[in-house]
Amino acid sequence: MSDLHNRLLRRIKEHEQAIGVSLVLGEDLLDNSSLLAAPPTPACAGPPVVPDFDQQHYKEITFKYRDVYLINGVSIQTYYLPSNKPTSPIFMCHHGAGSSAMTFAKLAEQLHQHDIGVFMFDFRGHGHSSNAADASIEACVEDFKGVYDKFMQLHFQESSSNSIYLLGHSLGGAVLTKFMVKYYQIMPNIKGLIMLDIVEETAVKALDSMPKFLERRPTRFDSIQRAIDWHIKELHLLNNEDSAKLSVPDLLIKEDGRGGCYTWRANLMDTQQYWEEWFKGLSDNFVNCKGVAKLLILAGHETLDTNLIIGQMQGKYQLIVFNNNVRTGHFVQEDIPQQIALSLVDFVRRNDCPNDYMKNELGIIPKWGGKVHT
Amino acid sequence: MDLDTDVPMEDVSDDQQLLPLIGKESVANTTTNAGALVNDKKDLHPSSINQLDEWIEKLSRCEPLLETDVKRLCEMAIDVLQFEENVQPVQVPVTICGDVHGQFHDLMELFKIGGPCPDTNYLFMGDYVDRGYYSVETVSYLVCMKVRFPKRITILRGNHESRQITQVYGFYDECLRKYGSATVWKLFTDLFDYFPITALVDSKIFCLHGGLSPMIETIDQVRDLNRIQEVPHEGPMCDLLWSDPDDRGGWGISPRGAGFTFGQDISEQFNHTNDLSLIARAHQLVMEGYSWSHQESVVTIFSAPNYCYRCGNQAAIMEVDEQHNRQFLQYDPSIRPGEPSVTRKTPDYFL
Repeated sequence: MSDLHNRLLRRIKEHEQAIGVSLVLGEDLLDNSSLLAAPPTPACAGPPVVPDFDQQHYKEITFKYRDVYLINGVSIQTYYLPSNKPTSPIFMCHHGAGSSAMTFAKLAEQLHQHDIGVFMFDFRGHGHSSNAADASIEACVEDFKGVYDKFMQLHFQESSSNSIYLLGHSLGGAVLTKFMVKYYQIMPNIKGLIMLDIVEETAVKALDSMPKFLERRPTRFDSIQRAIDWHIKELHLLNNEDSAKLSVPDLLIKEDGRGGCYTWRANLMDTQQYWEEWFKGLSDNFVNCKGVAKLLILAGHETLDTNLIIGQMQGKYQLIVFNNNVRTGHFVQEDIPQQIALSLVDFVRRNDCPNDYMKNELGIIPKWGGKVHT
Repeated sequence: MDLDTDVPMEDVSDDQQLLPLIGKESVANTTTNAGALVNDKKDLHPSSINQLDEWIEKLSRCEPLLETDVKRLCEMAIDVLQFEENVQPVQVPVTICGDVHGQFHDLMELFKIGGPCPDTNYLFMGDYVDRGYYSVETVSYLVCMKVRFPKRITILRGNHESRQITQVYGFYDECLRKYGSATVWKLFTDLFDYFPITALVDSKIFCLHGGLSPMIETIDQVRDLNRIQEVPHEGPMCDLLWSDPDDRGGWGISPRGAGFTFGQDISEQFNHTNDLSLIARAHQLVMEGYSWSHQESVVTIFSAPNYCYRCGNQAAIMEVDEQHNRQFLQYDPSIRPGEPSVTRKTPDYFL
């Protein structure tokens, strides 16, 4: 008994500590006092402390393809890390508002180790893609349609049967869900839809405080490292420095003639008119979206809204909640890329070819010759 | 805790040392005799009865037991539950109930609608904890009733009666909040390992939380399982607690990420092979409280009205009388559902 007992007690203790920590942080963020009480920090002062990490070099050695697609008049920066196996499944990733493709960089490395190809891109107005006045969800859906078609055309023959999994973080999840609802009938290769940390009701609730939140951000940083530190230490929005070194640089752009300071690339306030519609109907669409296996991954607490609760309790999708002792936040793919990758690999393992999964992995020959759905 | 690191299975053998001379494989085979022994010989001591009645009285006011009392209760419950079978035989008449999920006041409503226990026999098909505000009181109450009236009430295990699931969906946090430590959570989740996983009503109605498994053809194969363990991620025991019936025939991978879906052909074969009239199960929210599938070979029963205090569904229980007539009793949420004890922060989205 003792071994079990000790291990369990140790884990409980760890868990309690984690909960204690997260409670304190939760209250801290609840009123945003630490963030909102102080005026915007003039973070652009003095010389850079450490030389900035060479993110450009990292992209060159990690992503075999770094093509720019011209879609609907917008130039879209894409990255593709193909699997070594030509028949492997491919994840196509859509980041959220205010983020960039590189939010998936660490996750892509992890998935690559499991022979899964990963494609990602900066969506309009973000990262190294060009800006566009229309930030409506329809425009984003059509961008993704264009990107998807172009990607398939460049890398796959018409007859190829590689399965595709769509992975969207935050707003990206909403875009991909809407894309699936609209196009699932003509997308036979798409096997799965995964949303990372997005719940309609919670997102809509958060909208009210967004303008104030954006207003209070520092307008510029004197170095990338300072911006990384701000995300991790001030805001507690990112919890994994290795990931932040890859993702934060693409959030910022060097200003002309201001002593080499960095400012935000994406103008989120310009998109405010679209915020409501970005998330409207998301839960209902996700639950009722047909033709694919669905997975929702949440960081922190289980905060489903009514449609998602009913859908979950009717067994319409898989839910994984990471309320770990590891610090995980909204950018769960950056905070714990390895654990997310394992969940995704398991999801693919079950859903890619159910027949093979049952026969080869579980060793089941179904009773009564019952057929297995594909 | 990492979702993929569960309590390793080998740990379970530690628990089995509580069953001296009963080997891992032979647990199920020996329980029949042992069960009879319990029923005949091991009646409750009058002081235990008094104690249990006090606890039931306290719990019916929705007041949690003291931690020390929970410890005693769980010890008493293990004494009863470890001798029950994987396929626990149940006599008619009986009232069969589905998910409760910590909605304590609705559970009290259920007993009002169905009649008080022990005057009415009850069979609960799992999911007592998580999501509702009173998982502690709900599971304490049902376990008290089980120990007090072991032949009158049967409590099966649901997929939420698990260490892993309860850490995500509320029971763990509720225990921490109400007791200041995880001790009570550990006591209950250790106890859950002993809950029977299926029941057989008068050899005709097979009752379980989830559904069928592609690895199980006969009820005897369920009897052969070693159930005294955490709910595994895969395999027959997992499937029995996780699977769902489906409109499509054959087997399917469950969208839930555990268990399978099974079609009408499978249900009919299973019922035919095992000479059953019906599979009764819970696990899925159904808006009317009950729902037939597979041309009445399968029934789903859900007993948490207005689930999570927001889903707007009715609840139901199913009475089965001596002649095997079935009657569904539907009910709405109790007037006093309780208040949320935690408020969640609104996160800073898309930044």
